[in-house]
Amino acid sequence: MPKVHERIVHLTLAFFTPLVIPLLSLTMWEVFAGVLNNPTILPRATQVFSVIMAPFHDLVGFGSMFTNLIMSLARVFSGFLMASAIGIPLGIFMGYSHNANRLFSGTVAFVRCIPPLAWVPLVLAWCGMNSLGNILGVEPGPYYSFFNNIKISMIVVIFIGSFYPVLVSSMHGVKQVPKTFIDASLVLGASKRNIFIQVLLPASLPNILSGMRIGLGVAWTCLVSAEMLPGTPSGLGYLITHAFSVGRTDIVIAGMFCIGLTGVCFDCIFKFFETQKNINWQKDVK
Amino acid sequence: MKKVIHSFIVPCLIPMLIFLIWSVLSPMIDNNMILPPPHRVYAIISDPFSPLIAMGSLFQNFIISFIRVGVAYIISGSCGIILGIAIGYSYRMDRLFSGFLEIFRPLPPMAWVPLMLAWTGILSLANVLHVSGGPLYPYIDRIKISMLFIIFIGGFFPVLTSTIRGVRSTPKTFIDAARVLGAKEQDIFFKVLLPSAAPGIVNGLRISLALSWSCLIAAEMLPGSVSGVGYLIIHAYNMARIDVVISGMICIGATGALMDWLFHQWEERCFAWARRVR
Repeated sequence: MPKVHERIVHLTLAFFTPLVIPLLSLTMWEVFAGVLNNPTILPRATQVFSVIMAPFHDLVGFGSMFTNLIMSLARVFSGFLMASAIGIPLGIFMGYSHNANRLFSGTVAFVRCIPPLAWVPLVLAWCGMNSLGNILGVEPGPYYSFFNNIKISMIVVIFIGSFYPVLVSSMHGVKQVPKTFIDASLVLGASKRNIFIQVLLPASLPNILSGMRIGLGVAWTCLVSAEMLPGTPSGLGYLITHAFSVGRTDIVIAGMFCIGLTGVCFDCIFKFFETQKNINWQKDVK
Repeated sequence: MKKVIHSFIVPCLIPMLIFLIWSVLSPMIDNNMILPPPHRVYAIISDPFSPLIAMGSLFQNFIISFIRVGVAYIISGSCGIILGIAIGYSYRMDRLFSGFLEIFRPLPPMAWVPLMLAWTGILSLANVLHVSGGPLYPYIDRIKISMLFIIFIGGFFPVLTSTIRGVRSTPKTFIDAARVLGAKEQDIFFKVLLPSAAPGIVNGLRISLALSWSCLIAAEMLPGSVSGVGYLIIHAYNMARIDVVISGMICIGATGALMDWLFHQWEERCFAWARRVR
């Protein structure tokens, strides 16, 4: 039976081809690391693996991978929630009303062109070392050091990064709602409020969610770069820069892995919500 | 009259309001380290050739940033297009590369910085090209390999994704029709696939240019860089010259907007057919 045989060959090929390059790179990594024998330039893969496998272990005196991750997550979510809280209503408003769109769109379009990181010097000059701890008046204690590490300047930079994706997709979401839906509900006697809550919001929800997904991705990117700037004493971005300056490249690579994995997790969570049937009902309609 | 108000005056309201608040607040705060008056910022922008705090003029720093972005953008664009076409065209290439490249996509470009610094250090393009003198040396020497790589990473993935999508979205009917009419594989590739993928590719190039520009700013702000607009603003902050910071930010934003606009014009002119087809 040559046909079955061919199929087996084909299937094995299909299964193994995606693994060729990663495996090749891993082998090259190990070989090079052995040849170079300099862990500052290229540590062994096993070294990196052991750092990843021990996330609660203290690393070079600045906390474990896990505590730094928690710190970064707290920062990202405080900035991201603020951006969503302002971006979604403003976006809906801009999509809903022509005048609001005219009023804001020019300004938004220009300010959007300034990369979030370019705001850092100005935000530092304005907010300085103020932290969430100062603003909320948290008493010195176990929580204080946690809140004190969430600097306002960092939250503002993350806010700026994630604000525009959220705003723009909420706006598009509302704009894309077919006029027939609104007219139909008007004819059936819906009030303005009904239309807003029962027609506009559900119809634009998939777009808003995908905007939030993109926004969170940008927020994560901004956070990592914001943490790499001088003045931060914790976080994953700080971890990898600091590990670089003390010559621990294994921690650098492990930290990069952790950053990438967290980004993938964020993406997966939002994608899960986006594909839920009661949110993405339009999929069945189209 | 009503139209004029709506289309010209309404969009200007918020910028005017911001400007008004700025001009009122700055004499009240009366602290140039927090909010300098608008005319000082204007004075810097209107005179881009005069040196600022001993780190070159606004113009010079822009030129250096442009060269960095340009070099990295050309590399990331050509790699992205070539790989994207290969992956979009051939199933084998897709299986071979996609999984591997997907590992690196979620990594923020800036997360590469420490590793790149460990590998390439302060190696510059001048070292790699063996230039060691001449009038161009100071420019080429400031283009660090680590910085190029970060901009490359930032610009590579958007081009790759949209090229793959562009090639794959070519309607099968086009290819079949060309084949029926006796086209060779080569003809199909150059005369059907490429033109049909072009609008998608150009769109990816545009996104990638914006991302490259913002990665450049971030990369220049890190310790170790000695020139460029990103360096200019972070250094001006350290010297408490907020007027320079604000004018730098305005120029960065304006440059980004201008590049995007030019690209958009070109896109409109050359690929307007793509919109008409749909």
